[in-house]
Amino acid sequence: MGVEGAFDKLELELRRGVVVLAALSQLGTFRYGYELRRSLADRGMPIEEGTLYPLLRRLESQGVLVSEWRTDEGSPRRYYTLSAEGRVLYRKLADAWRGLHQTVDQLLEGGPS
Amino acid sequence: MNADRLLDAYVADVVAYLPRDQRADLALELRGLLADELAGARAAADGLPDEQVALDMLRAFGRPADVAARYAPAGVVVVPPDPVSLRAAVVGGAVVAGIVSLATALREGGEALLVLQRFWYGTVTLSLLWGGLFAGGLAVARWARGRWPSGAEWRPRVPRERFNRVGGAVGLAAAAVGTFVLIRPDLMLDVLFGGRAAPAAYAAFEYDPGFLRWGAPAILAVLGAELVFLGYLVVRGRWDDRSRRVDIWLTVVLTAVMAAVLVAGPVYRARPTDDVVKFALLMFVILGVVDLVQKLRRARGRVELT
Repeated sequence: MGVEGAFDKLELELRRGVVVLAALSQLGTFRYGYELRRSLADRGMPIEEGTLYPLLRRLESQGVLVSEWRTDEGSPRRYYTLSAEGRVLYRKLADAWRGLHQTVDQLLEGGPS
Repeated sequence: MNADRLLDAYVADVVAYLPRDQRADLALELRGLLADELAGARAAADGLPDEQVALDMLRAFGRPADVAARYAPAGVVVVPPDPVSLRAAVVGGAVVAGIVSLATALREGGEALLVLQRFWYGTVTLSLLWGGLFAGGLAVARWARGRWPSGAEWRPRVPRERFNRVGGAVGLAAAAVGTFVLIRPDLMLDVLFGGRAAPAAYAAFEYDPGFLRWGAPAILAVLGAELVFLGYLVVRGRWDDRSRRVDIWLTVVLTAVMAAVLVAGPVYRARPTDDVVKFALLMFVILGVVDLVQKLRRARGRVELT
């Protein structure tokens, strides 16, 4: 595997690690799956549909998200938002991410050029 | 198949892998999301046919089994699901192993305890053999999917609503002839050999009196029902919920009757003929069980998408 191949794989791993946090960050208000995916992609965080949609269901089953069906724009869609516990979890994860980001930044400062 | 039908077929394939109580809700959500995705993909497609856009999008979404594994709640999917239900295959294999072992043990005869012992050892040995072969087959299939990914791409199933009338009519004629031959094997010999078949040939097809008492009437009754049902489908030209249920029940009854005939005793007086027929019956029983598992799986996976 060349450097490019290794980069693609490792970058994907990095992104996978923050998919949940990225999704939670956009769910302060009710959104449906496709809308959320577009929103994340527009902000530079494209997530495969086959990954994001099942993730929303799993987070709901874990109590992190709550959902409701809405039909106000034609066909019925399931909208998701953070639950009360999800908001607490999101804040903790965001703090952890910021701490990690800072630490890694410091490490990178002293890394090889 | 147009794009909408493709989405329906794909969603039905995905939810077929999931617990029954989650299917309708997930099907509705997934169908809506895929419709949104398709609308986006259409806008980006450069003059590609709609069906091709939908097919490319669905294949990029993933194999239904993989997508279902992502959707399944923690603890439900222990191993990645495969097209053949693991549980159905293991139970079906054990049942067939039991039938084969019982038939063999009864044929070899002896004291009741000895027959039971042979039946038990035969069942365990064949079940283990089947389990090993099945697990090996799954491993090979998984390796092949990784080696030739294009071969494992999702393909929409042909809708089963329409019944092939021409094929059905040919099948009906063949089944009618086959049933008649079962009733009068001597006439088959007359036709084949111009009435000059050796007496031993006629003797070879002489039924055992025990089989004629109950096995033959039971087989004929079920075959008659199958013929009537096939005729109904040929006239009607399509499947519906009721005919599918009848089809499943007929398969259950026919397989059960054949299995009972297989273990009950000789069908023909002549041992060589009987051995060949018993082997054919065994194959039919195995095919019947496989067919039944597939029909039940299709029936369970059929979700109303409204």
